[in-house]
Amino acid sequence: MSSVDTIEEAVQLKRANFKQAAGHMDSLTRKQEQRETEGDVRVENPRLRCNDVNVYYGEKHAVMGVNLDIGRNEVIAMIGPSGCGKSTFLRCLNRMNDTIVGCRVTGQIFMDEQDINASGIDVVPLRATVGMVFQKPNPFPKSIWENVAFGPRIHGLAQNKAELEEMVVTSLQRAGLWEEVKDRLEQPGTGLSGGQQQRLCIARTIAVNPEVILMDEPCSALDPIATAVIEDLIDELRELYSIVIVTHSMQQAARVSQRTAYFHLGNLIEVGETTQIFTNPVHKLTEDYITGRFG
Amino acid sequence: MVQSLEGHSVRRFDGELNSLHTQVLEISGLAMDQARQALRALYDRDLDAARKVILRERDVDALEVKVDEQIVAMLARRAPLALDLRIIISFSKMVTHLERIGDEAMRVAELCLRLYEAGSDIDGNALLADAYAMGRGAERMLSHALEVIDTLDAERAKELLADRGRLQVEFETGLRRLASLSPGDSHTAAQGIDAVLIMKALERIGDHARNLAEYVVYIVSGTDVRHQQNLRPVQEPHRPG
Repeated sequence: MSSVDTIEEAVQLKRANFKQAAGHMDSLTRKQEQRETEGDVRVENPRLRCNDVNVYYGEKHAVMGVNLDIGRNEVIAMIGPSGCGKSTFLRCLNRMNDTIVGCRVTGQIFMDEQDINASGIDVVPLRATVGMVFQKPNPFPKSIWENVAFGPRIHGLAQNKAELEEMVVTSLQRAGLWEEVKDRLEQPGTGLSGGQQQRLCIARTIAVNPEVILMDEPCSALDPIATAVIEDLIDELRELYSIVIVTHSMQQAARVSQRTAYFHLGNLIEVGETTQIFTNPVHKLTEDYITGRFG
Repeated sequence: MVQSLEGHSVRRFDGELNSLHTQVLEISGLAMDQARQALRALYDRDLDAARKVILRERDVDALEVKVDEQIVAMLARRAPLALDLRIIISFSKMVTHLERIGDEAMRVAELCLRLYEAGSDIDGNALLADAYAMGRGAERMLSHALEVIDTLDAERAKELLADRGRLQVEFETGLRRLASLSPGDSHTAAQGIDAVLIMKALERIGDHARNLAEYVVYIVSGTDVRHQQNLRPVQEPHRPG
């Protein structure tokens, strides 16, 4: 470029591009194949260590050779388009896929040197240690108090009524719900607002002393105010637990997590510090997804 | 690597980014023209050109405000991430540098008016030889910067970054040479000061051109290369004493 005329030509060219701007769509139609993960999948002293995790639904290879550590006291966000395998992978972490007919999981997921997929592992205490919060709040059709007390009771965690009561109160406090429900503990949990119900489900999960909390789109049914309360709670809970959250909201992943993992067609494409993923992702598929270049 | 602003599923966003790029190019073209007109005033003692630069400064300011408004709206509406975020943030910074290039051009124009209106008999070759040389350097750097703003070509941007220091060396050489001239021989002390201020403004234009290239590198690679020692040239500016 050597003259102002050239700049003006550039402006004209840009105007033409403005009119012809068209999206390109190729990432979702690419052939499904196993890919290397970009970024550091390992962390020091992990809470969970996943080695070569594969999930099959019958013939369909839904999760392909995922290696990933879940750190202690971190929130890690799983993002990716629908059907990419992020929720399926999440369910591997407390063997919820066992309940799906035709689903087969291979690979190893270590928690304290113990492979949770090993034969002889009792999934009931596993699912207390690795608790789960679902997309739609699903309180039991019982009182608020009973919703929280149910878990400690069936797991035999309380020696007496006073201990049980302390667990209920502590769990409701940690879930940020105590002040709102302390005067109506005998009322049904289903009578709470959506955001309160979701926090009740979090209290229920906390009550059985988990180490990891899995959250599968926990705010997708909530309004922005209830979402903000849950996100604030997630930040507080991180001090005590490891949290794995699946979300379709990129902004939510950016707000709540310290690390982010991007899944695409069953592959873990990239994992890294959340700030790096959302400002300067390494893999083009990650960049295309988070900038909305997916057709 | 040249970046595409397009390919979004929301095609309107493609259009908005292209529109923003167009406006950055428009303010770039205007800043370039302001600098060229100011240099014409300097080289040719063209007072009309100098007055035109001063009058058009408000156009540069108005464009800067317009681009900023568009950027704020895009940040609010699109919540851009990754490449899009780097593009928008960088364009926001770049328009500030382009507006400052306009300011420096106006400063050169004002100084030319003062110099040439007050002393039509000044010996340009003696007083302004270094300013002429620096003007050519600043224009070349600005032209290079505008090319990379258009193409978003990081490799070409890095070539400009390697140019660092040349104008600074010329500025310091010019200062020493002016100091060696005796006031009264061919110019007054006030004229000497104006010549120094012109050289300083031209040096600043070169600095802003490099800043523009730094943002192009950031857009493409995500790497912040501002204030980095390793991109400096082998030749460091002479420091007296």
